[in-house]
Amino acid sequence: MVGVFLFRRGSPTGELTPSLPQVVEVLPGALLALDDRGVVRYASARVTPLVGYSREEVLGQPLARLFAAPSQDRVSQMLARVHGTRTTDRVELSARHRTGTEVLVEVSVDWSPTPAPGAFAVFLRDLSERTELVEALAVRAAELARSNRDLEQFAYVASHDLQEPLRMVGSYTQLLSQRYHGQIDAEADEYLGYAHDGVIRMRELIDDLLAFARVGTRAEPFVRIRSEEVVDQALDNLEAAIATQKGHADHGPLPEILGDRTQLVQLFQNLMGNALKFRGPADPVVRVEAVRSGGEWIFSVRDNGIGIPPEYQEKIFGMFQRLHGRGEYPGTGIGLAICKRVVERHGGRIWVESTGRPGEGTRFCFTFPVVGAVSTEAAPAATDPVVSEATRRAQSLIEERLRELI
Amino acid sequence: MPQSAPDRASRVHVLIVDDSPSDVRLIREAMRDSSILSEIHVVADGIEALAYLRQAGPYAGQARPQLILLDLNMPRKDGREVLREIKADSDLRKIPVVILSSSGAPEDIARSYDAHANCYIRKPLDFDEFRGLVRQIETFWFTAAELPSE
Repeated sequence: MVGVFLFRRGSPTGELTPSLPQVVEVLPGALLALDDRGVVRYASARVTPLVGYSREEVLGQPLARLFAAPSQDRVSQMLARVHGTRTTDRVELSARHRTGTEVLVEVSVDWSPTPAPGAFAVFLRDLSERTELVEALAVRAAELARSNRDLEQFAYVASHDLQEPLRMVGSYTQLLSQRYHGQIDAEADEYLGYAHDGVIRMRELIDDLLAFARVGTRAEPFVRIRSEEVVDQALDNLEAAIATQKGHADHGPLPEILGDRTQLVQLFQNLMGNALKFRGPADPVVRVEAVRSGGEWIFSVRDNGIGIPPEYQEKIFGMFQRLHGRGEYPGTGIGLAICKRVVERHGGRIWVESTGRPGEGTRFCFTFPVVGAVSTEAAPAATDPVVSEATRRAQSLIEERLRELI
Repeated sequence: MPQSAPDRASRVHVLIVDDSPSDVRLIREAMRDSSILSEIHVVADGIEALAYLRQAGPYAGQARPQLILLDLNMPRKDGREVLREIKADSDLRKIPVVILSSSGAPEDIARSYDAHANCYIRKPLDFDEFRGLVRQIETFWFTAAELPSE
């Protein structure tokens, strides 16, 4: 009966037969064979750690007796169904350990018509370890989500509350320099100038910190969006910059994607704005394109600007990271950090390709899931990226662990 | 065009309700040199503001303001409560109330108008802008707008 069970699972034939008992004993669970009345006629040694009874104690008992009272009827129904339909079945039920504790097990039942007519092969697998893993990961995911919310809240509140004292310092240094300009001495004017520059800079940093925090706190649910419209909107917003830089920006055919419109406009605007800002001697040329690669779109924003040396290509996506003095190129260095956050919130990746040699330009690439290809994944991502990311990691961890077990 | 020796009655009276001395000073600085001659009265929280408006206690005999500049976040009784009480008072509700707050929160703005604020202005970060706004408030409420006689 056992042999039939294994053969039906498609195992290699002949050479396995001599070591069959060992094979049975290394299975990650208990293998049982029942007669047509559901009474245990064979049990592998693994049944003992599962239910606390020896093989001998189990033999001659109806299978249902190994289960907790609420599960017993379901066991009988399952055997009847498998017997009636000549099929296999698999359910999760609570087995009862000798000590009285309940153990969640996966019960697989197969009907074996030959060579012993009227027999069941049953495989019991302990799920309590998996259950604990799932619970631990759910707790961890909730912790991560909460800590992320706290951080976003902190950044938002800090930015707002920092504005108040800054407004005072700014207003009064301005008042001071207007009222007393040239009245103390040239040095005093210079000092006041620096103080005022500091205020302006601080204000930019706070505004940008606020914008960064908003990617999480002002998130909108994802909707279907034609990315061409988003790029056109970003181009409209950049009209003045394009005109002053004598730049040219256009795009190829772009797909429909799922996303948060405001954030997508910001993404394209930041990338195209950078392309215009970090220009070389030639008039800036910017082109946006998208190609499909399996289940994702790869968008690219290419320019003919100054490029980014390879050694800095990781660093530039960090918060407030800058490669140039403020005298050369203005800005706080938050733009690409925002881009990274937006892309990741949409389930994609972002990277940069550039030789760093003048005139060869830069190509920023990021991916977006193809609409429909991963629609079941995209929905939870829209509600809470941290939870969905943790859930995804939990799932892959469990799958990995299960593969080790089986 | 400076007026010569204006008597007290010809001046406009403005009540500033704000707990921050530095903000009050900014408003005063912004009103300095204005062509509109105003007399500024200052109280630091909501309880004082209502006492002033009702001429209670130490405020007996104080001039009734033609305009109230009201901050939202203050100790004891905040601007939201003061606004509700003013607008619930059949006499005081005629006095225009301009909310002057550093908050740009949409709910603060919406709730102020719900409570019949006459106008909501966010305190600008920059002094020049601040001065410009205070001048606009003065020009609008004391030159363009017709106010009810007492």
